[in-house]
Amino acid sequence: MITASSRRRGPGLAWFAAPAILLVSVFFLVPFLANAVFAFVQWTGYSDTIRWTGLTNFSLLGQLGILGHAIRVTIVYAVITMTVQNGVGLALATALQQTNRVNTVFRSIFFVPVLMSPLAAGYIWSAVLSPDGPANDFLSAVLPGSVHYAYLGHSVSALITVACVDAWKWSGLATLVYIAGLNRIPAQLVDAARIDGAGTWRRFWSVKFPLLAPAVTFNVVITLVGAFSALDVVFATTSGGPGDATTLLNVALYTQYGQSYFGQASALGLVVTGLVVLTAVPLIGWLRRREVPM
Amino acid sequence: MTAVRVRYLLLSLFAIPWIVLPFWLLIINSVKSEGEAGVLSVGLPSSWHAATNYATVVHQGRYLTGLGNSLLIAVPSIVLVLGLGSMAAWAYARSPRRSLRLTYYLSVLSIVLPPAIIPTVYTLTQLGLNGSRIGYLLTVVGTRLGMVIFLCTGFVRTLPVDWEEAAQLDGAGRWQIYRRIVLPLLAPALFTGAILLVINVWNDFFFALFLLQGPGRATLPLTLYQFASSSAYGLRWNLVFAHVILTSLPLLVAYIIMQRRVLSGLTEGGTTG
Amino acid sequence: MRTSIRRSALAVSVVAGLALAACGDGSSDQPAAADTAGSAPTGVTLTLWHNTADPQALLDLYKKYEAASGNTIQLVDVPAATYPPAIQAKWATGERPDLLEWHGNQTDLLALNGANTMLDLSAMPFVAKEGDLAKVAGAIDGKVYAASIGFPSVSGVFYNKQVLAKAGLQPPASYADLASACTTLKSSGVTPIVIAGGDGWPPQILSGWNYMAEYNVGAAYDTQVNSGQAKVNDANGPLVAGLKAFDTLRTSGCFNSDATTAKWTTSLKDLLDGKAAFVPQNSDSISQLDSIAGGDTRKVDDTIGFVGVSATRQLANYAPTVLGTYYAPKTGDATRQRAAADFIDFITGTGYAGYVTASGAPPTLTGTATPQLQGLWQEVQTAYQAGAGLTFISQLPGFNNFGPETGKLLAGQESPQQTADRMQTYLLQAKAAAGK
Repeated sequence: MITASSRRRGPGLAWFAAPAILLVSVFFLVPFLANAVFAFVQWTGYSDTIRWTGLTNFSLLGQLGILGHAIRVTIVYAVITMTVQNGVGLALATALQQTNRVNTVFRSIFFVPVLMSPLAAGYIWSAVLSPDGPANDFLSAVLPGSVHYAYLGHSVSALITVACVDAWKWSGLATLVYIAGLNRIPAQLVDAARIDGAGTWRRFWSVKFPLLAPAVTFNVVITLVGAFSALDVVFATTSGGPGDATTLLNVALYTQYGQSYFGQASALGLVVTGLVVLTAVPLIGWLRRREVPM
Repeated sequence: MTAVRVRYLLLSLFAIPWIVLPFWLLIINSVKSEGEAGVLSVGLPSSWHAATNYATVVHQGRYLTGLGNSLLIAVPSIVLVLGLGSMAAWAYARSPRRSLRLTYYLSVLSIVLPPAIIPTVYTLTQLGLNGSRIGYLLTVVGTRLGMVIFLCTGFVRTLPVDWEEAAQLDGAGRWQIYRRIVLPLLAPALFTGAILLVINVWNDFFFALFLLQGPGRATLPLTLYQFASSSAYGLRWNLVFAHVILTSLPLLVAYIIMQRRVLSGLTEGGTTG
Repeated sequence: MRTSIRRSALAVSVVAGLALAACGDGSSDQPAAADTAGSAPTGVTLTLWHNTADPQALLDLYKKYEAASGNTIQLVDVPAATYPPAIQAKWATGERPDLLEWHGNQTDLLALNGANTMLDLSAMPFVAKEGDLAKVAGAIDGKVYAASIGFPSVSGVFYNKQVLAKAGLQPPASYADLASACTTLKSSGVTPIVIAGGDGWPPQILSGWNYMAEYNVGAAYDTQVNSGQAKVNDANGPLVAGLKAFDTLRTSGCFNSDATTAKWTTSLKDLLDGKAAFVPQNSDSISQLDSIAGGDTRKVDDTIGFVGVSATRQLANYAPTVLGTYYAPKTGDATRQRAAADFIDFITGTGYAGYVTASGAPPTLTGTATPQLQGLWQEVQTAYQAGAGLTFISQLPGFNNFGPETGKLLAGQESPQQTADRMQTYLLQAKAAAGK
């Protein structure tokens, strides 16, 4: 890649990266590193002084039942979102892989939620799923008796619902990434498998799926990382409730921030970062290893 | 052929609860009266209230303020990210420097690592930018550059250096080479980057919630949230839905105009690296 | 402690490349009392951070001050939906307005480090006229930092008169009454009590505010807790008893089936429509009821009644509101601080009578006649004047978390004792943060 001539004009080239380096440093890197300090200081609106408190922020959050609970809720939320989004995305991609007129129409329809704001998605689905909403109306029509279930009113169903709304909003994008991945698989390989007598199901799992690994890596990591730092859909649907059933880490962070406990808010932010690093790094490694070289 | 038919039938059946029902509910209830929208039925309205509902949203929902602020922030920040990102990408792809390689990796980290919001508030305060639109804009730029740098660096690496060398022999300066040769060649990667940026920046609520203060500076997602959580309008589904539609409209219109390019940009662009 | 500040400061400046200055502006060195000497300056621009939920009467009052003084009030609109977090965040980063509209509760004042950041208004003439309210509204250690012209928010139970009459019930006076009324009402198909858990704050009115009213007359309970004589999580203490009473009502099915998701506005609508018998709420609900009824105050007065309901006897509780409570923060600018004092003087003096008439609510300062009130307001005023207790969370640091914690109790996620234990931790957290 590095040719003699590119080496000659190398040095001055660095200036082209300078503005980006400056902006990334000041508005991403510095705050990111500073968070590791802020998580361990007492910084509140109650007092003028900021002082070192060690692990107090974490232990207080633990005693208040915020920390462990928010971590659990966030992980469950992320796993549900990731599973639903990738399941739907992969299924739609397989169905819509060929580029033809009808498929293009379907693709563009299924992509629409991606353009909506997550808040909008939250408002729409809390209406669809409200106790007197169309979802229950439909169930009342098919099932005996009348159904008025409050999907957002019970701890478990609220968490699942909110996670699914998040997945709904993004699965159109996952679909496109999977279509791109499927289209990169050489047709000869699939044809060869067909000639060898592999059925549709077997061709998918034994041939296509392993070759789809780069797209899977991308989608799984991006959805997990996105879901770890989710907040919008919760704000538009449950505000963290019922009780604290959907209080994700970032929702708890906002609450602490709102009460001017900035040290504790930073501590929660650091936990989000920790989750992302702990999950994303090994996952990328693991999924990369499964990739078949093409 | 029947297999194809079955597939289309299944897709249509799936599209009904997944897309058609939610959007129909949204649209039809946004033109109903408050009482009728309150029951959240999918039926047609007995009387139409489109004009009053949408007028209320535009006035009480501060729609135009939100639209103005969203444009004021999204347009310059996306232009900056694409411009500065592609410049940096060219440098990263073509320069052999070790130090640049390090900054490349640090920049790209921002794709995966979540930005730290509380220290961002603090940093902006120190710079005298807390709560302002410019502070928010710069934060958006600083946290999204990584994605464009990543997309474009990979893309530049696949381009042959011959043209750049030829231009250099013809006496073109670096800026001219970037402007005339690299930038046009980067167009597909930048287009993919632009689509992802528009979707993310336009709909951003998290950063806006923390970094923008005062209703006068609110972007569309913030005005939507403030409108929908106010006790005066929050439970009026007709008005909330009208606001949701107006908030989503700019992107939907852009999408309808360019959908073919958007979809092919995302399927054929380098999203998977 | 100093060195540890330095050490963390060093750490951040190394890591972040920024100096970590204490977030305040060192304003504690300035004289603490508001300056009211001489004539007030004119031509000054005063910034006022205000809540977008301010009623028209207050917005008009700001305009009248501008006309009377020659000063300009620059309103900084802070949305009601995110009011406390937005203000506290601005505050902690060192920003200060000349005037601040903020909760009168000591709990919330402590969160802004009030004793060090606000001008002491104790010597101003309005304090005497505000009477007992001045001792609890925006006051710390006997010093008054706020002028409260908005009528306090009075909590109790709103009830539907027709529903009660039909069931042959009297308005309740105690939690035992609520429980027995619930049994009667359940059989008649009416929702006995509507709880609006979807909005976060309403459930705490029944889970604690109302129950505690009789224990916190004259802030007696808060004083005991703050002095360490009582703990909020004492197993035999009144708070745990109140939470248990609330939980018993919940488990006996006295609440609406959507108690965890229902909104404030719907709860009031259900009450007005006769679908429900009781809504534990505060007087801010009156204007909301009026607007749901399309401005028909007569209909509201005919349908809805208000009564204070405490643990064992009929007693309301009150807390200073955020709307109409003003502070003058220390800004370090003598001229603007003098003008801020002038604003406080105006709204509690020359401009006051006009405001009260326009507000349609009872006055908080003596010497001004009560305007013609709608019937429901009169019932609230009667309950307030009948020796109402101070809403118990008003002076307990960290108790702004009582709402969310009650939400968990309402959702069946924790027991009454656990809720009280959590609150004890919140109390300690806030006290530690305030250095108490």
